[in-house]
Amino acid sequence: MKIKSGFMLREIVDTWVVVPLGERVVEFNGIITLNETGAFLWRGIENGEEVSSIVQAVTREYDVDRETAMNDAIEFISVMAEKGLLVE
Amino acid sequence: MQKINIAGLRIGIIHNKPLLLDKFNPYTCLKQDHKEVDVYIKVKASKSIDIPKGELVLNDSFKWVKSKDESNSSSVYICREEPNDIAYLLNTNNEWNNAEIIYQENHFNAECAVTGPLVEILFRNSLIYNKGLVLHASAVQYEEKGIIFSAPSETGKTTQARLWCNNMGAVLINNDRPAVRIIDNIPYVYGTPWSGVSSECNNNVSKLEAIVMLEQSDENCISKLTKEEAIRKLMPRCFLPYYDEDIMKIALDNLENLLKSTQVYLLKCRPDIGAVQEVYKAIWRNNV
Repeated sequence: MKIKSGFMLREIVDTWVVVPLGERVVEFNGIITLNETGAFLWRGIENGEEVSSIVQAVTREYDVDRETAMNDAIEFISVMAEKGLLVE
Repeated sequence: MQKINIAGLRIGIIHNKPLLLDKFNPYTCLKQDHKEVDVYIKVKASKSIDIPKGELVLNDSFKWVKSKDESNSSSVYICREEPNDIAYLLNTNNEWNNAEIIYQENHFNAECAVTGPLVEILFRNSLIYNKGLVLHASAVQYEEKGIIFSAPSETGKTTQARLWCNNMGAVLINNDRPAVRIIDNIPYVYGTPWSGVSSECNNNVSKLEAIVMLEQSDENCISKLTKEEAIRKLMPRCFLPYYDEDIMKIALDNLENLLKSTQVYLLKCRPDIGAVQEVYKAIWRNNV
């Protein structure tokens, strides 16, 4: 699983924004903002890490248990997939 | 060289004879203004224009080609009916401050080449390198405070700006594409020569006090937006360089600085004086 090319994650005044670039602007209508954990998950996926290792990293970085982190990650991935931001 | 000053950027236009640029008259630099030019544009004619080499990053009514070499230069061009028949071509350096415009001499002229959309594109990108952005908005000045009204098309930007001009005596800065710049952490809003109607393109500048995002509603009500809400509403209204990641990063720095220095409101509004009163209360009475 990878993030589709042509998207840039950028922090603007404490808000993480997914910015489409090039032809993605035409196919991608709207703006996605992410919270801190969302941005963390995005970067993990962007770096090609396995979901289990990203979840482990989330539990180390934030005050959250593994089950909650896993559920959040699954939800995040399903939303990203729904929006067409992921490729296998 | 003819010199114009748009949003504080001095643009020098070089051609083999002086051009009649009515559209830019209000922006003409005074003869005694000897300050250095920020953006150079050489204008020349050619019988035929070759397609620029590089990567085609935008293939629309405008075509944008980025060079693949170290220069990072860009070309933007407009074709006639056939895709290889270029009417106007802009070649620019990486910083968008040293450009040439070539026009096809049998069908077009230098005046149209300069007052047409290519110089507007050059200006927008050049402004990004000078801590600025162009917004899709209407802007007015009242009691030395600039207010920007922005929203998707047909929401009522012009209506709100006119209500301010007609009822409060505000001065219209621009009714479609004003520029903003953040200089020493202070935001300013500027008129530009680009709007639907020339009478709505005034060469005015004001300190920017607030950005008001509009939504049509049955009741007039104003509220402050959080930074996240402001980004979601304002970002799509900015002319951003989605086709160049490097300039995009600078543009987003500018957007961030704009949001840090300017309060953004949401005005749910009717097209009436009550909407003006809501904005007045919020900005001049701090009553939100």
